[in-house]
Amino acid sequence: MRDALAVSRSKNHLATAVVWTVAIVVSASFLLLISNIVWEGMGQISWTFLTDTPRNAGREGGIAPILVSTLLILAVCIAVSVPIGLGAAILLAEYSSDQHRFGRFIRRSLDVLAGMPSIIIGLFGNAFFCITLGLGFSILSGGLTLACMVLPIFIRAAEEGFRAVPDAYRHNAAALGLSQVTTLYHVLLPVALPAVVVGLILGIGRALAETAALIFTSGYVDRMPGSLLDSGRALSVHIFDLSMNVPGGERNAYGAALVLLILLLTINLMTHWIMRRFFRSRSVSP
Amino acid sequence: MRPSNLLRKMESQAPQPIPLTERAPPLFVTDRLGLHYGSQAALDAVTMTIPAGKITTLIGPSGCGKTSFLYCLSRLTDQLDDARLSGRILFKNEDLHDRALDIMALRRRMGIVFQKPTPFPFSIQKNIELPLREHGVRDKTQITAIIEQSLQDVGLWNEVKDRLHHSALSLSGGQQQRLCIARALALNPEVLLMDEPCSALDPISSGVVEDLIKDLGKQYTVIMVTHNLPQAKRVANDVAFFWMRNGAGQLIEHGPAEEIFRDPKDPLTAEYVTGAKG
Amino acid sequence: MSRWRRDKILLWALRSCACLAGTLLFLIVLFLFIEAAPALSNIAFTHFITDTGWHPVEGLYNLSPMLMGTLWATLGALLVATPLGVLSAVFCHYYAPPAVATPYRRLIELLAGIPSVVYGFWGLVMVVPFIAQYQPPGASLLAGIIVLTLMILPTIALIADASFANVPSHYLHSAAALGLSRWTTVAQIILPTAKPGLITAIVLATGRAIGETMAVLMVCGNVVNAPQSVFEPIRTLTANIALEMAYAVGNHRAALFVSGLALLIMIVALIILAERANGHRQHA
Repeated sequence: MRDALAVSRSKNHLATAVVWTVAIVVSASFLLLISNIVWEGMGQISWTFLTDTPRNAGREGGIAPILVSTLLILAVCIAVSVPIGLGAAILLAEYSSDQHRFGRFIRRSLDVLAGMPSIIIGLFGNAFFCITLGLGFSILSGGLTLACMVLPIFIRAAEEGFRAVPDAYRHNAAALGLSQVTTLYHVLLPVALPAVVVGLILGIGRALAETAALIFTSGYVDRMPGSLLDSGRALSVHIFDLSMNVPGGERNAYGAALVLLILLLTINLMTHWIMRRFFRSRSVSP
Repeated sequence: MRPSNLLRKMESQAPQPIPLTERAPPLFVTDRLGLHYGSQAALDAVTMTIPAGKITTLIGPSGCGKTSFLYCLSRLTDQLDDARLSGRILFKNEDLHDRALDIMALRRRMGIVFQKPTPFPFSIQKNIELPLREHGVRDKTQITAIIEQSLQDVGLWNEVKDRLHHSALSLSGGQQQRLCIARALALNPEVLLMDEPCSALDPISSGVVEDLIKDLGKQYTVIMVTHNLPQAKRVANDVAFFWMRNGAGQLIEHGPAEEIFRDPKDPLTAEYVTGAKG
Repeated sequence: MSRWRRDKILLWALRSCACLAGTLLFLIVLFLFIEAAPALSNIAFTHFITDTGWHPVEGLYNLSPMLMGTLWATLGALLVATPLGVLSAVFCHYYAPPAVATPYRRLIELLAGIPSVVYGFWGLVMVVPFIAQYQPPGASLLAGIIVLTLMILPTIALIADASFANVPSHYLHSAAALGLSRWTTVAQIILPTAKPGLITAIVLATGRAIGETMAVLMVCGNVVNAPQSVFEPIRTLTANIALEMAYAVGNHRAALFVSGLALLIMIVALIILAERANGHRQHA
């Protein structure tokens, strides 16, 4: 009896030690990663780095055209996915119950789409946007390809947002004889907006981090893009290219990686801020 | 059959418990009205004539179909998934099940107030203005006048006139409910349908809203669900008593309030109003 | 325009948006098939497994080294990341004092959002040279496993964390009342209760590892090779596509789409597996 107790005690102590070790190893390796990027990247980032064009295949100079291309690709992606995604989310949340076959089919297809590896979406983007639609390697192709990846994330978040709006609002709006357009625009959308914005930010985060799908849709060209039909190099592609294909490109790759991390961190903080600001204090009546 | 014919037929053949129709023109007539949620029956064959110009309260224990009945009268059942209606409802001789009926225009003619006060999450002013604009009232001065009048009617004007642009959510529970009533009144409805309008409020606010309803009864037809018997006694002209039988709500007795409370015909009603059952 | 008409138009607009979003998946699968069709019809299926190597220009299309590369890298990363991820979540929930748990959780959340290209870059400049010191060339299956582990660990930890949060608190109270030790509580009560969530976590992490491109592309060496040890370089299916897509034409391009299809099939199989495991739990 006493032995058994002792064994169980020492097992418990051992487990505690293991769990703590795991936690320390995990956080240490991650801190190593982040501190390495921050430390090495800090030395590279400066105003000229952000505003200069890359020279000598990117070993020298800055990332201005790359930032512009990245923003343009994101802009195309948002411009396409927000209206389509919002429409789909509203349909799923407001017009199709869980038993509804059409809604179930769409939800399911979006779930699978969300799990698709980005390289497959990239293959599709290359075949459909670049070749079939004839857009070539361009910012437009890249943005549209990213939209395919962002849509399921955005729709899911926005749908949840609309579902979280209390039914009382819908009933009251109906009782007052408000049309569905008015109800949606004036009553439901404002209440669901924080969730919709969070969904959008999550989507942008995903798009910003994406590399594989862009390599053969928006391409490698590191010049300042003249139009949406020009090829443009995204920030993540730039990091990849500098570190893999350009001997001696690591210094600037660190700089670009830190810029990317800072952008993503900002997005992460914004999401947290919106969640805290709007979701804790959203009690409607007394 | 044309609705008016139906009405006449129902009146002629009806061995109705109390000939209410003699004393006041009917506003609603229901004929064997039934409601199912999926396979679950909520209302069973409710045949009832509700007169205009009175306060009718629907009483009964919770789950007996009072609220469902109110939802049927306003076709709010459309808002509920898998709700299915049977039988007929006439509102001023119009068939509410008519497919061609403009539901939005119909709802304008009915002011509906729910149990939980639900002002929309924007300003007090916009809460009243939005439905007005939706129903084609565009004139600024007219809108301002209607807002003031309807807030006066619910006794809220003096409390909020300086902060019409503040969020309606900043009001207290009782104020919110009065705003919801004002919002309904602004559309100049022909009837007020109220679903336990006081039950989510504190006792003082509840008293204020109850007095308001009593006042409104002088100008409007009011149909109110309550399970507060003393309240029904205080405000009602007519009382309809619902009870759950075989899993579905049924109308047991309907008549003037004093008769229902003093001299009920049905033993079930008697037990309920004396507090022996329910 | 009447309000009724506006509502009708709105509904149709919403429906078309939803249709567009819902059919996207089928469009993707369709185009993969269309593009892969030349290879599927010109090249006998056995070529993809029995050819003497992957030399698309010379008409040799053996995909199996890449397939093996993907499988070994995924398996290795899962074996390491699953215990680490689950124990991380256990740490957060049952061992760490609140002052430690919150920043730890935030760190993991942060890591879940770090782009794969950054993981790959870090692997390339830190992990690969480190391995090369002991066992050149450094860019190897091992480097791939290490980097993939770091990438999927946050996924596992976060989902495990969420499923621990759903374990009813009265289980914990009862365990405490019975005087069970902390580890017994975790191992005998928490982990079995949270099992469906943990399986979901592993399945999602597997999907992420199979589909990952950039990180493995940057650290695995990309030699078409069936590895004999973890120190040998490998090339995964995804890396193969990313490397050759830019210049591939004709049957070569089509063969790359075939490997895309192979990836697709793995992911779909995984999704089906996940649903079986969760007993057809429907989206609520």
